[in-house]
Formats: sequence, C-alpha cells, structure tokens
Amino acid sequence: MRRNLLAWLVLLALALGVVVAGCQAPFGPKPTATAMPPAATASPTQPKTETIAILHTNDMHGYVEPELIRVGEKSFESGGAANIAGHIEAFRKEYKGKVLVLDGGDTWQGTFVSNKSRGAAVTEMMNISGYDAQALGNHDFDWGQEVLKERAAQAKFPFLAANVVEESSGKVFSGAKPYIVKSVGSVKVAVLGLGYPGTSAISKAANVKGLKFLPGPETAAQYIPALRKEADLVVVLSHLGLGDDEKLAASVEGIDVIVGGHSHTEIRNTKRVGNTLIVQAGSKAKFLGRLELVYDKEARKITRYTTSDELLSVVSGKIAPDAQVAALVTKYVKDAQAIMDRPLGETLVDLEQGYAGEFPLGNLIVDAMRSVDAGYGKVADVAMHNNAGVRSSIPKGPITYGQLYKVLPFDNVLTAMDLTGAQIGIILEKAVAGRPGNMLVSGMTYTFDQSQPEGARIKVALVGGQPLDPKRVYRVMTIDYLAGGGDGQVEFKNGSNLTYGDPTVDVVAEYIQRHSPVSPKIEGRIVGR
Amino acid sequence: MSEKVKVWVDGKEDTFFLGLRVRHAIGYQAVKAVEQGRARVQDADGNGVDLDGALYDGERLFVVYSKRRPGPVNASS
Repeated sequence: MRRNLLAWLVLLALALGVVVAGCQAPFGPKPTATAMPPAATASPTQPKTETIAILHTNDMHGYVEPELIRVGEKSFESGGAANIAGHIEAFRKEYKGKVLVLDGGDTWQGTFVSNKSRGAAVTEMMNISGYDAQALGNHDFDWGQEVLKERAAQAKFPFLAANVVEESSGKVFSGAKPYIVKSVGSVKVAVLGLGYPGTSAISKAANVKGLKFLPGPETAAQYIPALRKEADLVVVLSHLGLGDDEKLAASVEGIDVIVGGHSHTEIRNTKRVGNTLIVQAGSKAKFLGRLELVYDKEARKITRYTTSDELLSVVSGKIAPDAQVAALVTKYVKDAQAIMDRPLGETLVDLEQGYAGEFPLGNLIVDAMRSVDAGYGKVADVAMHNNAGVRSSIPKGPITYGQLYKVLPFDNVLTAMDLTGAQIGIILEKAVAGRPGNMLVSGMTYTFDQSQPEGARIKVALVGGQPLDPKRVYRVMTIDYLAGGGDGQVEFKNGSNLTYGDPTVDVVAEYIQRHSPVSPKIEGRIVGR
Repeated sequence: MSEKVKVWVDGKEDTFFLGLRVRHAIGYQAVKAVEQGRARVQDADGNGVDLDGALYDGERLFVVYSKRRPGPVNASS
C-alpha cells in the first residue's frame, strides 16, 4: 500500500512538472545541437514525444533528369526527379507516414524538358511524390499568371505565398494560399509561404502585373501569432534567400523552422538563429533535405532535431528510383527532343560564328534582341551582345532549336537598362581594347582605329543615324552576363532602371519563326582598321 | 528593395544588380573552373552555393579550388 502511495506521489509530481512546463511559452528554448540518428529517436517507448520529418527541395528549376558527374575516370549520375521520388517514398516508410514534403519554389523554369511543358512535367512528378506544399519563387512567374494558375489547378498540393497580394483587393494572389495547417502524426504543423519580395524588380513586368510582393518579416509577423495558437509547430516555406531568412528568424518571434530557397545554398548542418532552425537543399534536385524533429507534446516544443548531414545527396543507384516518375521523365525527354529537332525556320545563307567585328549571325541575334519590349512598352535604342557569347554556326537550310541552342548555350536572359551616351562610349572603347570589335550592335554603328591609344579608338558612333550624345540617356538591351560586368565590361554595372526579359535563345528562336526565311548580312555596323 | 546588392567575393567588395547570380559575381574563369569540377563556391559558413544561386545583399562568397572535386561531364567551356 505504501509502495502504491509512493508511486502515486511520484506520478503526481511528474504530472505537476509537466503542467508547469506546459504553461511555459509554447516556443521554448531548444537543446544544444547534437547529431541525431533517426533510429535512436523513433522509439515507441516515448509516447510523450512524436518524431516527424520535414523532407524538402527547392530551386529544382526543371531538373527532372539526372546530371552526369565525373570523378577522374569514373562518373555517376546526380539528381533527377525519379531518384528524389524514390527517396521520399523510402523516408515515408521509415517515418511511418509522419512526413511533410515541401518545396521552396523556383520549381519549373530552367531546362528545355520542363520549359516546353511550362512546368507541367515537374508538377506531375511532384503530385506522384505527394508533396504537401510549394512556395512561389520569382521564376515561377516566368510564364505569366495564367500559366501559374494552370499549374495550381494541376497540382494536388497548394502553392503558398502570403506576401504576394493582388493590388486591387489586397488579397493573396488567387493562384496561391497564404498557409496550410496539416497534422503530421499527432503534431499539427502550420506552413506559411513567402515569395521573393523583389520579384517585380527582376521579372518581366507583364508577368507580375497587378501583383504586389510584400516584405517577408512584416507579412510573417501578421500571420505567426494566430498560427502559433492553431498549430504545434510553425514552419515558414520561404523563397527569400538565406540572407533574408536569417533576418526573418532574427526579427520575427515564433518561427520554429524556415525551409528556404532562392540562394541555392547547400546547408548541410542545420543553421540556427535564435530559436529558429533554417534549412535549404541546394538546387537542381541534387539534394533532398531531411529535417527530423522530435516534438514533446506536453512541453510543446522541439526537444531534438537533425543538426548535421541534413542534406542527402541524390545519386543514381543509392535507391530504386520511382518507376512511375522515371517513365514520365522518359516521356517528357522524348517529347522535348522532338521539339529540339523541329525546324524553327530557314536561313538562306550560311550563318557562321564570328570572333571579331560584325558577322551576319551576330546581326541576327542583336536584331532579335532589339525587336522586343525593353521595359517601357518600347524597343531599345540599342542592343549589344558580346561576340564571345556566340558559340556555333548554322549552315544554310532549316534551323532547329537544338542548333540555335548550340549558338547561344549560356542560358543568358535579356536585360535592358538605361545608359548615357558617355557610358556607351566607355563600353565601345573596352570592346576595341582587346579583340577588335568585340561588341555586336543593333540600332547603332561604330568605327574604330586600333592604331590609336586605348581609350581613344572609337572614331565615330551613331545611334539611329545620329551622333552618340554623351549626355543623352539611351535604353540599351543586352544580356545578364554583361549586366554583371562580364568580359570586363564593368560599365554596364553602372546602368540604371534595369529590367529582365526572356532567355536570349528563346527570343532569337521566335524572331526566326517570325522572319523566316532569314538572310542576315554584313551592313557596315562595325568598321575598324 | 534596392536595385543593387553588395557582395564580397574572396574578400573583395563589389556591387551587382538585384537578380544576378553567383556566376556573374565570381567571373568567367572561376565559372569555368566550377563547371569543369576544379573549384566550388562556398558562403561564409562553408555551405556550397550553386552558380545559379541568386545573389543577396551582404553575401560573402569564396571560390575554393581543388583538383579532386567532381564536375559535370558535359560542362561548357
């Protein structure tokens, strides 16, 4: 009897302790980080705790096929949607279904296979893998809002973006939800989505028309208090980039985990800022993140979490790929190859690669660049592309997308900016300082004399037939590589009012389709001696 | 949001347009080295960063060269 009484007293003391702990702030301090193998924590003898896992990808950019990697004489395959799906399925079994599968956005744009289906290929594969939610990245707007809404209708999971709102109503963009609350085992998890606040500054204006992209911290601060009441854990699914994720964690209380994206950072050891854990899984489907969390239901806090080796390298042969996804990849690759081989149009002349000065293929490219909107509903005054960025030739006859891709293989995107005539002059001088005439132009001509000292070689520069005015501001269409100061052309970095456009190769492809048959020629745009 | 971001590459400060990527910040030769598997890019914490990662204000990048680092077989040059 006394032993029973003692036992009751012990139980009572324990229960009181639990009550006190339960009255503490719901978001208690986490223990010192320790590596935590799953087998050691998934014990059924710990009923007060629940072990769950957040599986995550981000910035897949349409990489549904694995990429071949070499190590010395050997090689292996990295990434791929079928391998990712195989790992997700294995973890689902390991955690007895107590997993949350999230993607941090920028999911579709980036490979020909995915681009040609406007991301439908990736969404179909994510449906099979049972994703629970996806944040909206800036590139997810690359094909406009209607395509995004088509993907939303296709997806069996919601897109989350609490800070992407419609200007007219102030409501969250109709292709997305602000958050979800989902039960994972016995743990209620709220997932709040945040898109990239700078999306309107780095996307085509038409694609984001009528939308506002609000700052992450302010938006999160509005939602988090209510979500904390509704759920046991609060996760932010973010496309802010690691720098802003860290600022968010430091400035907004009550976020347990940030699953990030945008900066393509491979966070192998879980980062902790205050009481918030930050994870991100690189990019291009090369990694699957696995954040194991042990949640104490009575203390209402995370008591253990994965601190090291949070990223699983996705490599062919490690695990059986998902057969259904693998079959889809094969189908979409075959479809894409057919499009690659389909003629866009015809050229009546050989389009030879040129290394210096003007050449017909170069003129075709810059003319195509100057034919599209440069940001204010008008075409640019001038288009500029470096000669070195043109990498192959196309013989007379039909032109396929595949051939054109070999000509422009760098995945550059059109980039328009304001430059003064003086700045354009500096760029032209740089272009004739080394390789003579290393700047293809449309809308202007220039004459140079290489016998003159550097900085004084441009003799005549005309825009639209008029002398280049050093003080006038011109709208210049170029590519992101040059906007970043590539080829030593650092003056581009001093431009202003920058806007981004479509991939250069796609713009040239559409130009050829519109103007076929093409027969560009040398017109005296660049004359030097 | 500012039109430009400040980034440090191997300790050297530079400024880039918002929306540009790691490959634009580290220079052509370093990009080539990464694509050929001779180097990798890391942030201040030692995390690997992909060439197409978006630059963010205050980011510190380091190009780390290694002869044994694997790389894509069909890397462009």
